[in-house]
Amino acid sequence: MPETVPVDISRTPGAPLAEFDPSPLTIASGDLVFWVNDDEEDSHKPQSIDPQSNTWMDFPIPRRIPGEPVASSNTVVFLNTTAAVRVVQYACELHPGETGTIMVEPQT
Amino acid sequence: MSKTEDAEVQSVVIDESVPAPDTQLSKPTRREFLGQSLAATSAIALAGMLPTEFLRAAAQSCVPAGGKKLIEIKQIKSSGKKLQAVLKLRGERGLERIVSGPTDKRLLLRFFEGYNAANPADASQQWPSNKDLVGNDVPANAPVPGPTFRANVGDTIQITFLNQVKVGHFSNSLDKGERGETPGCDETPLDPKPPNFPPDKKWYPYEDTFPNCFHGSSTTNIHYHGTHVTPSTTGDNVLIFIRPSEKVVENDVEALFRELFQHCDTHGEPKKWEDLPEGFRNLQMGPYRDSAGKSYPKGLIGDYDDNAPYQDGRGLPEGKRLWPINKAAIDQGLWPQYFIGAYPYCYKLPEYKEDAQGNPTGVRMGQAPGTHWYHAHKHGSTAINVFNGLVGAFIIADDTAEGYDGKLRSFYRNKFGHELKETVLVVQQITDTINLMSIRLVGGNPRSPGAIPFFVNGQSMPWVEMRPGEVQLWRMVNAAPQGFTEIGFSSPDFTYRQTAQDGVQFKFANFQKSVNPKITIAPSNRVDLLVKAPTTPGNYEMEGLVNICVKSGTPLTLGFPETEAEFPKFPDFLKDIRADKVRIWRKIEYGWEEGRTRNRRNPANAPRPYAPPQFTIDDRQFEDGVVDQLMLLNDTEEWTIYNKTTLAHPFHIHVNPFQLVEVFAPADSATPVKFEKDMIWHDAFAIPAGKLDGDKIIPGHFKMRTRFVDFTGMYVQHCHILAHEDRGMMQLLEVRDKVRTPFKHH
Repeated sequence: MPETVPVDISRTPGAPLAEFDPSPLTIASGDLVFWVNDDEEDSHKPQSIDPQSNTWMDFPIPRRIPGEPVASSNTVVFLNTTAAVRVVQYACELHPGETGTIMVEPQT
Repeated sequence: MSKTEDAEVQSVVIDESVPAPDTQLSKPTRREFLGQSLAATSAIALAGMLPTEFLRAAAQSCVPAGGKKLIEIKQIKSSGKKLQAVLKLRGERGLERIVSGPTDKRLLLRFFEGYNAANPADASQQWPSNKDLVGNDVPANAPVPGPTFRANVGDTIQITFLNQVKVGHFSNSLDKGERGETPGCDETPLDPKPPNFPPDKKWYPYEDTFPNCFHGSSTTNIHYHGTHVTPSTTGDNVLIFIRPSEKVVENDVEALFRELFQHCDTHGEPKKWEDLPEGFRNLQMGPYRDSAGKSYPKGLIGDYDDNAPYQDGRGLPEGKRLWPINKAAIDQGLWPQYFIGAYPYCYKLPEYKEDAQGNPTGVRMGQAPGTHWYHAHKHGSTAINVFNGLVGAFIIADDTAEGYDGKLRSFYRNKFGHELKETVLVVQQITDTINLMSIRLVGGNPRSPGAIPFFVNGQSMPWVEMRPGEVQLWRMVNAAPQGFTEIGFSSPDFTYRQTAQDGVQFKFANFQKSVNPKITIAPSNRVDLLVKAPTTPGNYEMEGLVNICVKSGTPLTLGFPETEAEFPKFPDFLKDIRADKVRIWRKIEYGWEEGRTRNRRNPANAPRPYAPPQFTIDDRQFEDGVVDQLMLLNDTEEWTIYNKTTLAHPFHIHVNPFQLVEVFAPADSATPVKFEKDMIWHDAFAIPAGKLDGDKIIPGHFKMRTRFVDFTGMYVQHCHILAHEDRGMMQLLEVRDKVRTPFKHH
């Protein structure tokens, strides 16, 4: 059965960039991934660097405000119809130095 | 002409010869009809067993190594005619993995947690606690149903509900439409996009449109499924939205709700906003100051409007703000729809009473004692929340000497010296992902997610222990969002009788006929069974649900009630609804979009290869603010509910149960099966699937009679395959005490 997996976006205090956790993330083909913005400093917008990929989300995920609900993205369903592991590399559109990886296992 | 009136013209027939409700509905006559043949019950042997012997035997477990014993869900019980509970919606409880896969991810699931508000320190009424789970050989944080509520007919229910879910832990948790990110539906793009996929579509919602799509899953409310109570204000109200808040805790609302609960106890449910305590109104709508001194001039609703995420920022724009919507409702004397963090549920389970002439002195329909349940019911997220596990059993007892519970217990105690053990089985399907949002290339069907297994009280195939020959009362709740199950034992040496359906007790004649019956339990159905174990010790199975180990030892010689005097008295308000009392006939049609004949989705089905069926009732989907069926208070109606699709849809109606009078399953028989006497009460019944005949469908149907008694207000009827309900297979109903017309005729 497919599952839905969160990726946390957080920042070590004072660090110039936020980080994706877990990264790399290993999922099964058909699983869904969404991003949670735990960063109090800035919005983020993860997007695959592969031009063949779809747009993952139409708006950045707003920054966290303590005491308010933490915002998250919509889900993205990842598919792998090949026999090898599919490696999806992505970066934040607003902060290109923030990068992450998703490993999609082959369909069994 | 409005859509409401239009629908009535098409589907409603009125019999002018039947008096309107104000002048009818007196005592049902005792006229007997020719009935169906009755099967004789098996002979019952008489013998007893000392309680001490029973306890000694019970101490020895017969669960095989590696097997998990059925978890007994703790009960929050009423005392002094009041059920006082705190129920919290929380997140984070998860299970390891249901199926094997490449990672060791844990599913994050929402869950209910509760305790007895009258005695918060009573650990025996706190549920769930990891101590209980680990003590039962279950991993800490395993997903389990919420606490079982136990109350009596006539009790007042007072539940402080707190929505404390951490929204960041759940996908599509915040309402994307409210945040300006989508037209309203959750969205899930597919990566990579299939080569022939329509470029203007997303994998989800594809062609689903707001509000009939998955959305806003952290907002909720609670449906008290099977209760005969007001659907308005603080009753079984599924039209309100309670948003999560980490700012509202028990202490903030405890004293305020106590004031409301006292008012509710004395004067009945609140009728208008002003009946709520001023402190709670101010907490919601302002002005309010929290314990840290922070000021909320428009309460937590205004604070939500100011701080909720909107596109790339914070604060909702005009038109999307909730405070003005609530204010407009309050100014019109209506109940507001939006609440933040907490809600006081308060209602009375009505007790039926008659005068010497046999006429009701209060309510016309009592609350049926039996096995009921509660679950999350916000349109657009009912399925995912019930899949997560936002469910619990709700036992409404009648412990009087002749009442349902009192009589069954005293029968076994007096006749056999046996204490009847009650086993509550809450059947669930647990997952964190709606299958329409995901994809699987299995068997050529790109959307097939595979079967979602059943869990019982939070475990797969747990073990129930029984003494040889023991009889137990099994209260089964199918709390699964989509799975049907059937009663079947691995050995014919198990014998059983059905005592109630959907929390409504059987008449003795129906009990007598139910000799090891084949019972399909559709989603939301409840079935009460007296189950008698074989006398031969060993391991058995109730197929697909639980394992049963029968211990060694001297077999008990127990039987089932044999005579009407040995069976609970059938309440007068449950007598048959006679055909000549019916004043209104309606036709309701469950279907899907025009032209569709098959449910199966096949990529070769161009031009819409990926579109799942759009399910409809009376050829349209649920629409905000449009009443689909309007009923007159205390009217008696007969509905024929058709199914134009090729899969069974469990029809469920809130507030009033109904009696089944006819069933037509075209796949099974050429003619309908009719029930003319001792009709069985349900609050949900799966409309038999239609049968494909070439390119046409022969619809299945069932016919039921019901009375729209005691409560006015708005509520719903819908498919209890909950993804169908979320996607629009639901109608808004209204019961009015009189029909008003805006027109003058002169």
